[in-house]
Amino acid sequence: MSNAKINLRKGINRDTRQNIIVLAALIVVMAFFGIRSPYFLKPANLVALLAAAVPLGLIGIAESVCLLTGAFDMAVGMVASLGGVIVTMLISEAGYATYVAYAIALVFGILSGLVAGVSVGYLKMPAWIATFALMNIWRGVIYILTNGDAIRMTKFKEFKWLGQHKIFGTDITPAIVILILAFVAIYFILRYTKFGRDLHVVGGNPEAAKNVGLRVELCQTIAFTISGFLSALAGVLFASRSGSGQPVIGEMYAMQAIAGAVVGGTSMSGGKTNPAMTFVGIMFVVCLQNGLTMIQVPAFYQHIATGAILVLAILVQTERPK
Amino acid sequence: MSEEIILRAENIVKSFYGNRVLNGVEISLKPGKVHALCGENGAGKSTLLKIITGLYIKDSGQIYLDGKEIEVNNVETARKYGIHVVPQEMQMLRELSVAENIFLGNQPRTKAGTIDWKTMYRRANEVKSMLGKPGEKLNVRTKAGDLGMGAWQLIEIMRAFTSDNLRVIAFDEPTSSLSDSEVEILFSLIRDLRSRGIAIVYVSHRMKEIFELCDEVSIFRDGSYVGTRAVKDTTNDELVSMMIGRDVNLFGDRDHSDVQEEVALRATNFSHGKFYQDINLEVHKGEILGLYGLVGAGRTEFVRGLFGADHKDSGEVEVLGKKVTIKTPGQAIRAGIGLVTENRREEGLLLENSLKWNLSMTNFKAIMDGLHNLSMRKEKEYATKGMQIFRVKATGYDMNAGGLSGGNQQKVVLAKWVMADCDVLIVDEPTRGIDVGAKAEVYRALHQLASEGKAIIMVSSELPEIIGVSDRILVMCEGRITAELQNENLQEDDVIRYAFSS
Repeated sequence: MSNAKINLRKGINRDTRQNIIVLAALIVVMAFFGIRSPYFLKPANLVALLAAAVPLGLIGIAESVCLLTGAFDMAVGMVASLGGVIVTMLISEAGYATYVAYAIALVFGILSGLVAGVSVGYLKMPAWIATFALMNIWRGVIYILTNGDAIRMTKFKEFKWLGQHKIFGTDITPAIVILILAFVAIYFILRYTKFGRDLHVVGGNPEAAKNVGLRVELCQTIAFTISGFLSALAGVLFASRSGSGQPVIGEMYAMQAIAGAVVGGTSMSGGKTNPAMTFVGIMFVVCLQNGLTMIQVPAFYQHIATGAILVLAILVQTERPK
Repeated sequence: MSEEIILRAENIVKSFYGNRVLNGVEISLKPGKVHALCGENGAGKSTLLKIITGLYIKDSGQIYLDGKEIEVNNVETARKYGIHVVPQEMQMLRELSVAENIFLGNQPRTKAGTIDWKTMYRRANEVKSMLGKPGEKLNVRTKAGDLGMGAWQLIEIMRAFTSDNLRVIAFDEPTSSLSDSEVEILFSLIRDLRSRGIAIVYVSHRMKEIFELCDEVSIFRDGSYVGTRAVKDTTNDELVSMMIGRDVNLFGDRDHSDVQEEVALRATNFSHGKFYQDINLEVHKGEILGLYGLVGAGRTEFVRGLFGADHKDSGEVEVLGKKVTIKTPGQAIRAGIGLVTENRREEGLLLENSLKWNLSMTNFKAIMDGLHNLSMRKEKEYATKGMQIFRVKATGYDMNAGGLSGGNQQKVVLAKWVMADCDVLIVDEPTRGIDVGAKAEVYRALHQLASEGKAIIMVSSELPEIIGVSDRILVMCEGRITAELQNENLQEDDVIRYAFSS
């Protein structure tokens, strides 16, 4: 009782205030595009927004898990692209069964994440530079494999099931279900398991984590491995939806996903994230992108929008001495 | 006092975050005299040094130079008045040469405004020659990173020499990181400075140095000025009693009836390089073992080695009669040992997360449900209990740890370990930086744990606390245990004399 009173008197805390601002911003953005383009708020487009948010949403989770331990993963975009390239090439050129190709692409993501995690956790390389290097390696591999051309998958219907199948005839695809399940799972893991709490402690105060007996290096390695897996998953689901392996699709993912996670209140210095708000943050980025396209703003300007969101989000989050 | 005074500070008051650390202290420095500043840790010596050398700004009080009041608001001003300090933690740019380090921020310039390297090296050699013999071996073009602590101190002193009007130079625990031969060099330099009429402030824990080197000594205690003596007219005992003479009754009455026969933890043969050598100890169930020593005696390093938080060269541990291997804190915790570190805020808290989370991180088992998932309900109960132990002042367990006052943050870290249900709890400076009321609560909680049969090792440099709380006391000095004392009618000087090197 007395606690509630004190809380009332002190008003809402900083996190809650930021969450309200972000939700309000999402509503404002959606209302704006709704007015400019009547099609924007139609249920069909809202589901399409969700479908478009699948890759970025999964990478947003990946990025928020890494940020939670105090590190960036810059490689997410190229892992996604290469995941998509691997799955499509294995099916269309090597003749692998669909599920085997999917599995190999996901294993690639896990291995890539493991490499990044070991580099950061055990070899103590600065996360962003280690993953930046990895990103460039994967980009090189992609161009060697594809010459920069998209891999067409028009004939492989089975492959497109995850991204295009209409569940019960609605516009909802298996990929959307996977996205939602991923958010629920990460919410559960971060909130209700010891491992999730360990990640918070490792990112919030590595010294404290060490002093309570946590294996900081292992936690970081696992976080990057999760990130690699989710990135590859994002890549294959995108390939399935678009019916092609796209070499350059991931170029902007890292920045957009970090922007979405940070807009959703994930701390840039580690120790704090909120999966539900990360989802809101990602939807904010996706809506902005989709809406800008719909009102025919050229794609190049959308880079400026992503950059501006990131700057604004960090501006709101940074504590400055008063 | 008929003698000439260069610098006089009086009525100096300084508070940090409402915590008063200097309470109207004074000091008078005379030309050609070495003035020692003595007191226990936290007495305010370093703070006063930082105020007269411009690193801190005083809240109130006056500083006079040659009888005229001056305002010293930053290091630049202090240097302009000829007041310099050789800090305890020396700051060198390791990749730059000795000369560049000497003229850091103050490089000679050419007319075009670029750095005048020729002049810089020439002047560096000039100030080097002012050092006399100790400087002979030093090459001003060597990188600072290739030199030892002794040479760094010479660089700091040369920084002072670049001033045209050096009047006052202060040394803050200058010998703590020096070898014996380097100490000799430093002393001859200080004597040389003295003969040139410069006033010298000398802060040290080592009584021997004060009697060897200094002319006058001022004693501080708990941020207050106790008195000044001429070194030739005083004794070791008088100084010690001036340093510690305070009345104490925070601790409640402690008989030793909780101490049981069974040994809870036995550590044998602990060594780590120059930090500590050949430490052996045992602590019984229900016992509070006080580990006393001055800062730098190796206590913290030893307990961190014991806990697996830092490297050790050798050392074996038995907990409740069983041999255990401890190389990481995780192994220590599984063996039933907990450590409340000295830097609690930095090493112990998640400032961006709730008190609930901060309290439960040492003991997830206590808040898990049947499926090994965290139970929010159990966590809330656990947090409520943890906050009650030390009466943490907060709006609730959902508040972020970063929003608490310093004292309350300390209570949270202590609580999380007290709740962790360790068989052996090591607390390093458990009451540093907290107020008297909170101290009493900490002592009460330690007694409570002992009465439940837990073994406690309490590291402290506060004598009243060591004597008031411990059943038995080990004294460390320069990496070794120098005394083991049953705490029966002990007086403070019975303990403190083992803590100073002789």
